[in-house]
Amino acid sequence: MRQACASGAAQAREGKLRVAVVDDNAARAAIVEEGLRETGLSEIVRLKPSAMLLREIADSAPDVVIIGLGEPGRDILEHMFEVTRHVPRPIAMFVDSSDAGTIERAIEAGVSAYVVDGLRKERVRSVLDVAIGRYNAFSRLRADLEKARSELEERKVVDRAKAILIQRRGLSEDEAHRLLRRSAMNENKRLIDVAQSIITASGLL
Amino acid sequence: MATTLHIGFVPLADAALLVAAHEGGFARTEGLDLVLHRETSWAAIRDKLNIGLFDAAHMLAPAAIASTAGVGHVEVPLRLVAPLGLNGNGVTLCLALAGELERELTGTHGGVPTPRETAQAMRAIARRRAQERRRLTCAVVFTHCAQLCQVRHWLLEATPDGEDPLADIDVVVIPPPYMVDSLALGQIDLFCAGAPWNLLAQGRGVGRVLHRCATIMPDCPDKLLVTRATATLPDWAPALSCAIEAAATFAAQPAGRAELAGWLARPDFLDLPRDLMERVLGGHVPTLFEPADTVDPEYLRLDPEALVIARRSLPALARQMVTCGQIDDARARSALARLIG
Repeated sequence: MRQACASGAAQAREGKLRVAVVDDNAARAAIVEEGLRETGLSEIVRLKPSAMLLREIADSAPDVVIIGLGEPGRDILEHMFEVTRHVPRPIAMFVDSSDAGTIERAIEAGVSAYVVDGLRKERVRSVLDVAIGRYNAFSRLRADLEKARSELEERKVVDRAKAILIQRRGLSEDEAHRLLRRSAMNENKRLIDVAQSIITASGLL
Repeated sequence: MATTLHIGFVPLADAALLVAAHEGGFARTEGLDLVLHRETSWAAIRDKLNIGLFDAAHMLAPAAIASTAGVGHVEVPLRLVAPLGLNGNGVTLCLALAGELERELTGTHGGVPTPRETAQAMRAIARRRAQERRRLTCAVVFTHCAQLCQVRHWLLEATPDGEDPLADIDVVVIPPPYMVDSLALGQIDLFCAGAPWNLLAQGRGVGRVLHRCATIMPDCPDKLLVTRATATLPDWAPALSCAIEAAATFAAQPAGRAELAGWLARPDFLDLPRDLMERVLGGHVPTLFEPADTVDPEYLRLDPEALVIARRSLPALARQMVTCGQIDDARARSALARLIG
């Protein structure tokens, strides 16, 4: 009886799907929310994972919950399967056996979704697709940022080594750079490693 | 050529044998190159096992049974590679409840109260609180876990036949990292979780350990090393099992245990003080009523004999899950048979 009521209510609200985005990372939560709003959804609740997650989800009564795959809060959500007596609208992990590909893409992207019973799978899939896209975009952004940071660090090391060569051996910047490159090639080492050795050595001599 | 295996684990003391297999070279001796991945959610471990991102994983025994049975909408059949130890859990109370329990017990016991005596006192407190509409809330680590069985079993001793031991207590699931804060904030009154969370709560001054679960329910398996079930067991499974056995022999020696404490303390594993890990591995977890130097070798067992006992005790644990209402009898039996193989 309760299940029928819940799915009736869910279908009535399908035009206005309410999505809860559970994420400890405010930046990622923001871009997931933005992505969902772009699809026309307006009822989006952002929650930070905590011990009170179950209560907050019950209070906000979402149709779909988007949460990171590795969030400890997932273990709280999974418990909802067992306590449907206490939760007005039973919620279950989104597992569409006809679309194993989506689940795999979600897991690889690091996101999982929980949906209220009775919601049409297509509706949920589109929400999950957006979440997957945004999670992947965030991972790429983060990887790019990391790469840029470490490239900057490496540049600084090479510049310092060049400065040492310029000062000690009276070379031009160009000559210093070519010397470093030749050294690296002859010794079959990376430019950054040769540069680091020069800095280390100059500190000792 | 070594076989590379990706293994998921949650940063708990009973991931110790996995850590030892890796750091101590026992896996390498068996021709296995382990890559250990730290996770913070049991659901994530199950999901990554499911799609093959992990070859094997550290898992709660009841969760492995439930997953194999398909309880809870997600069915991921699993196979046991090796048990990872015995016991390790504890019941910890918030300070207010600890005080209330001490007052309830005043004059009714000499020395250290038995689990039956504390159960009687706890049930009396629970009943009173329920009547005052301030129900006790107890947190456990996952929907399917030995911790719930242990709390229920403890209170059962003081429960009349036919009554539910947990009738006056609300049970919630909270991941251990949130449990300590939750206890401090008064959101929960007690929790049952694995090592080192009980010592951590006590160390932070927000809780008192009431019982080591080895006292409440001796010889209880908690964590297993499992892999996804396929038609035949993977080639590497027996070798990995041997590596775990060798790690257990190592962990049983004082020198091995000391080294293991150092590894577990590292930032890439549990990231906790080394002396805390030494206390956990040494069973130095005195409860509220015990002298401060109390040591219990049963607290967390990682020795080879413990692994034998753990495997043998899985049917009893499955029966406990049925008694607690975590799974029905028929599904528990068939899942256990599939899991053990």
